[in-house]
Amino acid sequence: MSVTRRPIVLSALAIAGVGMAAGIAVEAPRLLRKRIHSPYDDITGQIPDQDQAAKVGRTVIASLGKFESAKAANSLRTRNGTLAELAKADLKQGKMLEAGGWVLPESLALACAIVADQTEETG
Amino acid sequence: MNSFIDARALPSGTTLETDLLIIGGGPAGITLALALKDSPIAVTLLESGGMEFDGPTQNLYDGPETGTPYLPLNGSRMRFLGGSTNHWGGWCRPLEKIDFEQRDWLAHSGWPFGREVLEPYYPQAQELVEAGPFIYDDAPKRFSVTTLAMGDGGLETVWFQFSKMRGSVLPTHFGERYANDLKKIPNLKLYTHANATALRLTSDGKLLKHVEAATLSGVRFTVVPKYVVLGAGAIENARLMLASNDVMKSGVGNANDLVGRYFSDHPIPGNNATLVTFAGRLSPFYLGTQHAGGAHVRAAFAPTEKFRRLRHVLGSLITVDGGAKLDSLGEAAVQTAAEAMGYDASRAHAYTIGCGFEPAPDPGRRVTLDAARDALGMPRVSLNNTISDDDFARYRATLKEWGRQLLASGAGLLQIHHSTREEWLQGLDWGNHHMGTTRMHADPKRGVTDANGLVHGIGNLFVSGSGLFPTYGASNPTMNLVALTLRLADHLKGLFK
Repeated sequence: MSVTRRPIVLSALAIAGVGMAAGIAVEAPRLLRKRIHSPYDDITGQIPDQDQAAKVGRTVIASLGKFESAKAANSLRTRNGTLAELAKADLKQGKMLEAGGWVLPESLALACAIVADQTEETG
Repeated sequence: MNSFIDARALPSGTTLETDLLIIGGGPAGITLALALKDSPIAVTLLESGGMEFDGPTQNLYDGPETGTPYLPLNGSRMRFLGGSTNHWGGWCRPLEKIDFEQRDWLAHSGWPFGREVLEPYYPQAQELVEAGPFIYDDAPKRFSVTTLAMGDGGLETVWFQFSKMRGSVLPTHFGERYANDLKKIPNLKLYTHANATALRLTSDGKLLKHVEAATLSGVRFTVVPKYVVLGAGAIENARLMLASNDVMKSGVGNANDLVGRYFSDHPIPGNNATLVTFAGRLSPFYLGTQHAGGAHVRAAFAPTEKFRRLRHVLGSLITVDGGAKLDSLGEAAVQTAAEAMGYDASRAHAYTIGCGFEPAPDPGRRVTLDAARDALGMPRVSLNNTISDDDFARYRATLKEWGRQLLASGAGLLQIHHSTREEWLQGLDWGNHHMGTTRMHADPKRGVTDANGLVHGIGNLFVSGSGLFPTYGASNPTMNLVALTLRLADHLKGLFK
């Protein structure tokens, strides 16, 4: 029995195509988000994994009830320091917020909330 | 060697005379009898049960409850020789210094003496509960253990020790363990199946004249003592005092309506938090009982004295109950916090957290008499249980500080599971640690007994046990009540000199 290469190649290409399409569908919003700038890049850019931060941030927003990224960003910017420095200062001063019960420094929780808020707007 | 006397064999109408009558053969009563063994005091001890569990006897404990759901009253204690040590878990830890203090930020707080008064009795109490060498918070100096490095903050690692009855994996059941020792005491007569049913006072109410007793088989008899010590447990002591209301209409020692009030136990909110340690697994000492330094020990977490004063929180003993699996939010929180703070959480491990904490004294949490009567004709006891939102809030503040401290030190992260009262109450358990119904205070308007356990206004009636505790601490009460009873024994020896 002779085996032609053509159907095999076509099948392989089809499988690869489906895989790429699925990958794009899953990853596109994330890739898009990373390319879209927000007015709060100076803050959100300090958090390496925006998706994980957004998960945390959504629970922060839910617990706060009312949340405005601009106000939160303003309060963080006026304190002058990197997010890590602000978080350490919060821990020292006992300024904490909870995200679904997880006890976090206020500044980090607010930064996560900004990420979540911007994700909602751009996503 | 004496034998115990089965009161069911006594002729009805018998009158027994004794120097000292102990009512109740639980940890307090047995401790007292053992401590007086070399004294010239003739001691009679009445124990309601025998050597084994008996349903009809246990049912004498039954009674209704109102308020915050609590444990069944006939299931939260044990009514045979050894009392509630017959079902205890063996957890031991001395009370903290601050537990004894009157704090202006905590209403109704404070013992009539400081921990230094109880301190000399702890070593002997430790021997009686068979918890091994007295180590507790010296554990890290006594054997090799790596405690969780949490830096400065409001919580610290503290240590439990565990009672282990000789030759058994179980904690020390005082009846079984000390029966032979009690039988060797020449000046002790121990009656089993003997229930005190009434405390009879002289007509001026200033002295206890005699005690009426009965068996479930129908024998009625009388004990005429020089002194009496109630050692039947916090609920039964109050019940007997309230039910004995022929001379003092509100009950024996209840001129100021305090008997039965300020009842307490330790609430145990299970799985109330998730702890994530960044640097891998905790030492096994946190996860269960370990044998080290000649003792059975376990590490836990507790608020420091400094934090308790600063934030006005009460005692809590926080245990690591087991491993936990993080949900996606938990994973996100751990990754985000660790990365933002520059910590390595690649070896993070999660645990469920349990706790027993101290509620504030509440005069409304109380034992009263019910209209129904038991098989001996005594009014059944009724319990109104309470726990306030402030009680939960104080423990929650402790957890929140722990979360702050863990992240500040890079040790880990904490999730608090409960916020609303409904969440806290769901699945809330209690410790079977009955305390506070006959609290000590120098002022008769603020306590049922004085600092020695002598009922105010009655010259020969004492109370023993954890019902005397005016404030409770978070430590398990058994070893502490044993120490307090040893102190009472010394006081009684002085009275008979």
